[in-house]
Amino acid sequence: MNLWAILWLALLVAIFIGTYILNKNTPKPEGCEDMSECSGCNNFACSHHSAHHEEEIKDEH
Amino acid sequence: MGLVSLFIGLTFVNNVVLSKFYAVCPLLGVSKKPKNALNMGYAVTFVIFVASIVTYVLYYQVLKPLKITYLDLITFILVIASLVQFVEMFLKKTSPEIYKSMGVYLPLITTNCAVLGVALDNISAGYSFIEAAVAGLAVPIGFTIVIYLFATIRERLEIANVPESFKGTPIALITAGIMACALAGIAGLV
Repeated sequence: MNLWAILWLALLVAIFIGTYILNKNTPKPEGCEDMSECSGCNNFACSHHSAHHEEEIKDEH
Repeated sequence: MGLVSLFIGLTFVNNVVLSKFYAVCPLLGVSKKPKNALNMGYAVTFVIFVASIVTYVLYYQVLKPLKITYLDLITFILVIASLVQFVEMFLKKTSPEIYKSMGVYLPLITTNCAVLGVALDNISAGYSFIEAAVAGLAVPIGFTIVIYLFATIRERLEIANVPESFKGTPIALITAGIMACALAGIAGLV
């Protein structure tokens, strides 16, 4: 029974990785290259929070 | 009649956003412009409808026969995450404008708890396949109506004379509360 569970999970993870890689390799349309910034909520833990975006820009300079 | 009642009930009376507080993050994040709110609603509608059908079939055709129903949560999460990746890829290729208008909120549909909530509710409520499909359509339509109405109200609030301490999220949450009261009034109809 556990074997089925492991196989099923492995299949799902493989499907997710497959779709993730396909999506990652699909080029973004023009003008959408940098859209990681979000000011929707104040959750600082979220990687899309604008504060992290500002830190990235500072690091680049 | 049962399916119609289910549809109206899930769209208005038991609206997931205003009665269960699912999907509050996109409600606050993508409701600044009505056009963006509508685009978010379309994407969520597609994802929830497909996810509710796929998860229902997987639960009853795979998880139950293999007696691994305890994996339902992780299965649904991975199926939804894969679906969102697929939708994002599809929009990148076919509708750059919609992709651009949805921005960062598109991948965040993965963490929209309404998607997972509908998939889990379909199983726990013991719905048939048709009922699960109706629920998968009614819930996101209710979400789209609420987020669109909310965006139009917020647009007017931008130019309204709101006290300083209430500006932004506080007045948005008060608005959501009043909308919840208004929709709860339909409860007697169905």
